[in-house]
Amino acid sequence: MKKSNKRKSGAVWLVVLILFICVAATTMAFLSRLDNFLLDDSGAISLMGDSDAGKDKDNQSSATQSGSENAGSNSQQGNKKPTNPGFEASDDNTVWSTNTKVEIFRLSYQNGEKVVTVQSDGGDKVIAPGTENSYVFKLKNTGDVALDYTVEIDAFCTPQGTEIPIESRVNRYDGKWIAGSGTEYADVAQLDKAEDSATLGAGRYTYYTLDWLWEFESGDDERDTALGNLATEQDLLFTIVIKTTATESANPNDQSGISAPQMGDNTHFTLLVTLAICSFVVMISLIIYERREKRRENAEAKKVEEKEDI
Amino acid sequence: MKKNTMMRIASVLLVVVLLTTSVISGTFAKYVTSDDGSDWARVAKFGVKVAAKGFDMFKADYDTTNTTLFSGSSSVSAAADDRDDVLAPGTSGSFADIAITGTPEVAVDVDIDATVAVSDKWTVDGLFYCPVTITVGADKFYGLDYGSAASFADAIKANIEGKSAQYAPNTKLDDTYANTNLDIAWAWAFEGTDGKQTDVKDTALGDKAVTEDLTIEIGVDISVTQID
Repeated sequence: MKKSNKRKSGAVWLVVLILFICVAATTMAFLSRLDNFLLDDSGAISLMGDSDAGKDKDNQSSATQSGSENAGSNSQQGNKKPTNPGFEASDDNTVWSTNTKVEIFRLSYQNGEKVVTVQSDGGDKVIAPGTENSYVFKLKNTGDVALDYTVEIDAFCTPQGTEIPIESRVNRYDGKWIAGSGTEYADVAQLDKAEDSATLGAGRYTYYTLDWLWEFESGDDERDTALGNLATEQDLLFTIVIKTTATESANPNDQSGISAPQMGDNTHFTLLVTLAICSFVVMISLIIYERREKRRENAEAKKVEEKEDI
Repeated sequence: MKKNTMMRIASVLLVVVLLTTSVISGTFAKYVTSDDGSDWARVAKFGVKVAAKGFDMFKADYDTTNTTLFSGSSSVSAAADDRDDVLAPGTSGSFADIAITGTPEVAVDVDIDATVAVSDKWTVDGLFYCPVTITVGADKFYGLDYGSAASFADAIKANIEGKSAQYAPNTKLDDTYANTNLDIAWAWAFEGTDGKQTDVKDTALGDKAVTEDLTIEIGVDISVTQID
């Protein structure tokens, strides 16, 4: 009779455990569904001047919002869910912000035999006849709405009027040349005018490759030597500035650009953790219950034994 | 009472405006972001100077020996002159400084090309006899140690050209080329001490110089070129 009660009790608790897990899972599912009915304020712009509008918290860009520029285009969206735009310019080492120092030039250069042929005597990057480099930068739409972006390049020599025979070319990932071409390099003046505009779909990216070189045999050794000699008296600088600007596209569903590969595990981590915690709590409760039961049974057995002794 | 109603309506409207402002601001604002990356570099320093002083090694006070020095260099401003300078027992001179200075930020090839010509007229009794000592840096070349004008000239040439070398960026060229390493000098002892130089032979050379040109020509061409 006692054993039967015990079995019954165990079965009940098993059912309770299963039900509890089911309830926890249902609650989680319900809450996740309920989230869709709540006001999504992630794309809202704070009236307090907080510019944390995008998801990309790593993006230290100087994002600014203007309420007057595009009322027309957004009004077309009607009652659509607020968008969450985000844009990131970067290279392999750095996520750009305002005036980000990037690595277009180098402190030293090697020839084909891996021998250092040009080396700065300090911390300044240098250029010289025979030097060249490639720089790749990436523009990524980190938001959920298409963006129109522009890339503008400024290139200039300092002091003004200095003519450094640097040649460059800039290529977009899809083969479009915005300066120079596959067979020709552009001079400083042409690079200075280089510009490109395009649309980048949500979650998509694009990249540009900037190649520059100072030909070793440019045909004017005297000029090169004169520049090298003048450089001992004053700094002759060559500067490249790459400016990127992104705004919400009039066509928010545009899918231009390269789609980023799906990364990581999409399993509902929160749900699994919650279930694990619930299971743990139930397990502990069962253990405590079992112990209490044992104690109770022992006490009853003692009482029966005492009665029998009497 | 009327005022109170108006105030109430105004208050309600204010609240509604505040609420809707926060909602529609998210709708009508436009996202604009801009980033920029920049980099600059300066032209690497070259600043190598090749200087030669006193290229007129042989004094123009004599008129029997034609000599030239430091002729035809693309990198050195010194040029040969056509005057006739002379050698004689007891005379000497210093070519003085050939200096290469500078600390270029590029790898360089210092190429020293020498032209050394010793006339084959330096003979006495049919045998090569040139009692002149040419000094290149710390190295001395005594004409009487050589059996022919060509071998004497070749030895000097090889020594001068042997100072050519390649250097890594930021090498201070002064350390190698701004001291005495490239100094070239000459001397004709008045009295020989080694038994090879004799007054009789010196006099014979002097007599021969009346009708024939006994010359020593040394030209040095230095170029410092960036290595690719």
